[in-house]
Amino acid sequence: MNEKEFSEKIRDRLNVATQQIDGITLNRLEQARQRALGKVRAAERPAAVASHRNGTLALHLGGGDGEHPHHTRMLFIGLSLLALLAGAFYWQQANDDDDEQGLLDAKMLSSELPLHAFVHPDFKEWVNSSH
Amino acid sequence: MAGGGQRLPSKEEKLATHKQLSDFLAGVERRAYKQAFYAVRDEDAALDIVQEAMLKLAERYPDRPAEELPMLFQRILQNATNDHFRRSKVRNTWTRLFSSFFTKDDDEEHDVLEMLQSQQEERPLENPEAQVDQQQTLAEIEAALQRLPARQREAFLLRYWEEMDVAETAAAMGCSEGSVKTHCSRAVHALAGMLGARGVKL
Repeated sequence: MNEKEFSEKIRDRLNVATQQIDGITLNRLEQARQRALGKVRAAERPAAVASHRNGTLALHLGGGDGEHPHHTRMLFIGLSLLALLAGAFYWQQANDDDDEQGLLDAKMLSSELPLHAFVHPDFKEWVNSSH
Repeated sequence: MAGGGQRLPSKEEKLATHKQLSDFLAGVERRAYKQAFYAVRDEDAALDIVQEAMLKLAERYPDRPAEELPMLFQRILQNATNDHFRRSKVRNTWTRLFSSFFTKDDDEEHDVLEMLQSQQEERPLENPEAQVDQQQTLAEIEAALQRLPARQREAFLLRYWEEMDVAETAAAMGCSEGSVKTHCSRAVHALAGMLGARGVKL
């Protein structure tokens, strides 16, 4: 008997041995398998900002079961940054308006004309005629 | 795995892979359990090892192509077995420090024989002679496998039971193809010698 024949005979016997594994062990093996496959299923519903797909950013939201705290945290940080930027832009715009109004007020107060002159109905006509 | 950077697999690919993984695990679990048992000679420990290997495969390589799964799984299974021995070694060291009981070096031999005896006693024999012969032969083969050096047993089981080729076996064992051939050849001769000495005919 050569090495191959010998090995095949051993293999056949070992295959018989696998059919004789008791039911309790088989149940535990099945439980282990289901647990492992459950891990894959959990990984298949990520709450995450996924990486690029054909140049577009794909956003996957799901789960909500806390299995992907890292991705959820990243999403939260991103949204917070966006809100912060929007707030800063609005504040800057409001400040610019205030500056313009302040400058105008200062010019009116320091002018030789009395304040009520600026609101007189003929003020515009007077300005045009004086130029 | 397909190249092309970080492309996410489509939903269909994921589902197919999940089924392939499920089928693969269902197909390999009995042999994996036996392999682990031949190595550690403890049913609970063998189950723990198989469970650990399944979980790691599912967690780390859930979307690998089906053809890579056997090699990856065997590699993980062997690492889990080695981890078991490392943990046992540490535990035994501490146990020996605090205990003055046993152990003699030739206990392993007796354990194998006792196990053989108990395995034969556990299984009721339905059809007398053929069944007895088959069970005895099987027990002798399993005992002989357990007595093989670990690397020889791994190489033999991967090559001839898992039916991997030499390259796949080498990848799974993390050694050269030459070493696989050497381990396999020695394993066959050792098994044949042990079974012959026990009067076992295949």
